[in-house]
Amino acid sequence: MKKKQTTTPAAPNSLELQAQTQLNAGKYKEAIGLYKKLLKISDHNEWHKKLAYCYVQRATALAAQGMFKEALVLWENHRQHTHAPYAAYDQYIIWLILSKNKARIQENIQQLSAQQLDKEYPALAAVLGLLILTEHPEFALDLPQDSMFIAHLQQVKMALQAYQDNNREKLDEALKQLPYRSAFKDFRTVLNALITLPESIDQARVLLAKIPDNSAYSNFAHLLLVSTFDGAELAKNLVKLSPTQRHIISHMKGFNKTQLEFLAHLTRQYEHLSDKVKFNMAIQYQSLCGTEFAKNYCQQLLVNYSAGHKIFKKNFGAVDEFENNRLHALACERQGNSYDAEHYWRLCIKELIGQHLEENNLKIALILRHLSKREEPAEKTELLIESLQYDAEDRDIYLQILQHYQQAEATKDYKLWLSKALKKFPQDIDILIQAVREATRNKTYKKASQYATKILKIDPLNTFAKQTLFASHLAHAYRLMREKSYPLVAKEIALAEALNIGKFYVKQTQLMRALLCFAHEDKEQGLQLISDALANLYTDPVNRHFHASMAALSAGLPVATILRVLPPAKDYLLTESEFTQFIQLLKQFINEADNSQIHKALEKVKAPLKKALTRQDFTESTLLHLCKLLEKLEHFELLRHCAKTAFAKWQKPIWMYYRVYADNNGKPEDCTKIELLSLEHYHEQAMLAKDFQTGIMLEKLIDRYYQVHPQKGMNFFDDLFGINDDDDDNEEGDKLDILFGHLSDEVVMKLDETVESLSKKTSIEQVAIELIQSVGEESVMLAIMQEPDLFSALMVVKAADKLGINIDVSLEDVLECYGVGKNIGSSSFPFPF
Amino acid sequence: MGSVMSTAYEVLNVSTTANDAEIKQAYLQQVKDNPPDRDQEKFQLIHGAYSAIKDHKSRVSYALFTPPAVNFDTVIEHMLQTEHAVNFSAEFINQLLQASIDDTTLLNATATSKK
Repeated sequence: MKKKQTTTPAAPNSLELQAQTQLNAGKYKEAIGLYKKLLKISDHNEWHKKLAYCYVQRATALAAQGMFKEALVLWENHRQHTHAPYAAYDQYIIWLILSKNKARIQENIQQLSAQQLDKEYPALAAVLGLLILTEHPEFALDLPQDSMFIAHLQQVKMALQAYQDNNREKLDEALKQLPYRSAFKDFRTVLNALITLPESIDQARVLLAKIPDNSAYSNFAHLLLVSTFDGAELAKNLVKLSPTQRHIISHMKGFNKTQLEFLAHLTRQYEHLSDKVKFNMAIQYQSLCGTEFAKNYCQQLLVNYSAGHKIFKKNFGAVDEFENNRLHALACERQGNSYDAEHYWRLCIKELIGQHLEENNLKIALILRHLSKREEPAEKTELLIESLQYDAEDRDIYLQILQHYQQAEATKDYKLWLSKALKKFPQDIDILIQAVREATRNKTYKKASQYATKILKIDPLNTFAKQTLFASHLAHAYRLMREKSYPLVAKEIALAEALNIGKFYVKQTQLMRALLCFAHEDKEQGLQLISDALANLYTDPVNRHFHASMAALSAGLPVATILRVLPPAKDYLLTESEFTQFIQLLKQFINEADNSQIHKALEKVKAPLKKALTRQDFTESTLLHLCKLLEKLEHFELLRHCAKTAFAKWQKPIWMYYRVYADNNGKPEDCTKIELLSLEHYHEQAMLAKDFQTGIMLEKLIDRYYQVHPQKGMNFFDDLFGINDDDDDNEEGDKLDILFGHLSDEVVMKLDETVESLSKKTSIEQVAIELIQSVGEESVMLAIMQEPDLFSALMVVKAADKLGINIDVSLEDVLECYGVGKNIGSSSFPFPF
Repeated sequence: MGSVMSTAYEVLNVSTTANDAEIKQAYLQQVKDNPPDRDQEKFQLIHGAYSAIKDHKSRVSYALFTPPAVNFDTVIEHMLQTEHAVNFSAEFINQLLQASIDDTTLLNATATSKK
């Protein structure tokens, strides 16, 4: 039970403050009560104004909720506290119309002046115009007949009549009479859109889009716009309309009974369009879209709606298994599920094979090639080879297989497939080029020339074939010169010249003629000619010396005599372009000459080459190119120099590959444990970076190491303490024994496991860098390189640190034992990694 | 509902049984009508369509690996297809105008007017 409160009348000041607060907060109901109280205390003009304002606000809010009668009462209350012109009078009239109070509507409309209708209430005028044209033509009689509104209404009526009579001229005339400032301006725009529709739907849509959302004609414009749509866009809009609106537009579109049923069905289900609903609708209304179309669509849906199989079979017969699997495979691919996609593609192949149809072979081959796209090189090639069983006519597949075997350096397989490709496509230039390259690699120049000649028969302008023939003529000329068959040398030079393939080649034949002159005619003149020819070919002395050495060695001429007439090369610093030219020359000789000759020629220029590598800032690709050639040539001295320079700049897997390969003179089986760990670490990095080519190269080195050093127990400690080592007098083993010999077998086992796992995650470089940063001792890296077991010892301490085992050996003990960082103070420092 | 995708055949405006010559002719015609300097994107679409179906092998490949272009939008399009043009007669327009009137539109029309 509420306790009766004893209230004392609030002071006007306090009440006014409360009323203002409620008004400011938009709480008009409360504010109305308070202002009414205030007015009982005193008839203050300001409070009347504020009360009137609150009434209008509250009325508007109620009208927005559809409470028009309540809104009308409040608006009329407001009128008692203020004077004309009244706020929201136009809205008041609309509320009257919406509350269908005919007498009051008429009374108020009659009170509207021409000024109010034409100037003060344009929105009300637009609404009245719309209502006069549709539900309430009688309103026109109560409006001021001398107003512009009534004049414009007559023009609109004329326009509508003209539209009905299909009289375009009269319609245009009537619309022209309507000025921009008219209650019917939006209606005029809609009518213009209607006229435009037969000529241009797009232009009509632009006009309809001009009708603002708050226009009395916005709904009408939207309905007309919807009627211009088709298909899914039409359906999407129709389902949102009222049944009457939908009915009218459907009939304007000319939909038949079944289409109307489909539309009604779609409207009911539109918000819940599951695969099941779509499946059933496609079957139910298949007469509208055709049985074949409905069947294809439903079969597609079966991928996600397997429960539909039975209904599908009943309506369309058995499901096409191949198509079913194909759709499943494509769906899996869309979801990124390549594993299941492959399963379904394999089922497709099985189905196609089972049908025993010749035409299926191409499909099988294409599916296998499709599957090959996401495989790694070896598996990809297997699938491509398998695909050739079903479609052997695809030369691109042969080229892809050849490319794979070439990259994988699988010489035997490459030769086998090159021979198959040549047999299958004897006139294919790309395959003949492969044959030329292979013959050149094998230094079977006669064969290379034969293939090149064949290419030139098919394509007389083929530069590659001409270059090959040129090289072949020159190689033959050198051999003839060695045999002192000088007249034949001249003949070969003439044949090379006849190929006419550019200035650089002309210069090479000039050198050849100079060598011939030196060997057969006049030594002094020959030397001068050689010097001139080389000066024509190269701007720098290094390339001249190298080419001269190679030429002399190939022709069986005295190298020293020829080099003496050339400018000295020893102290020359090559530029990047000259260095690149050297690499090109080296590549050419590797293809054409014996490796032993190239080694001899390189001896003459290795000093300036090393100088250039050390001092110049060559690009990574330049160095990589050189390393590939030096690896092929097995010139480990220069390769070592190049790889070391490159690794200092770019700590990438490929450079670690070249470093270890060169440091061990191409015998990775001789590499140290640390180098092995580095190879394994960088192999992992290459695979993570998807650099499979480098990954395979590193893997080959690692495999070669393990072929010679079987893993046995592969326990870190076994190696560390030489358990598997026959050499018991190993001094390094002694150091490790001094440091860790006191540990129990149990501790050793635990440390062993941890060191193994840490070694996979940590490279030597990392350890060294962290140690250098921590102890400030630059010699750590060098010490590790010199004494590989130092790294092992550091890893043991790290493992103990990680496991929290006290092994009584600190980082300082290890460094001290190996004589590193003797300048480090006695204070302990934290393990850096 | 997604947008309706055009097949390569639709882009080139050829039937699915068209041969190499017919496809090439249609492609050249499309390129003539839509040169690359006018609409690069359209040209790419046409060129891509031609590459996809220019010969027997590519057509078999296209048929195998192209996901079905039929989605529910296409189904609706087929279902609501009519042979008639839309009837914009005065009678329908009048009905549409009548049907466009509702309380909200009338309220909104004056709600933003000057008080």
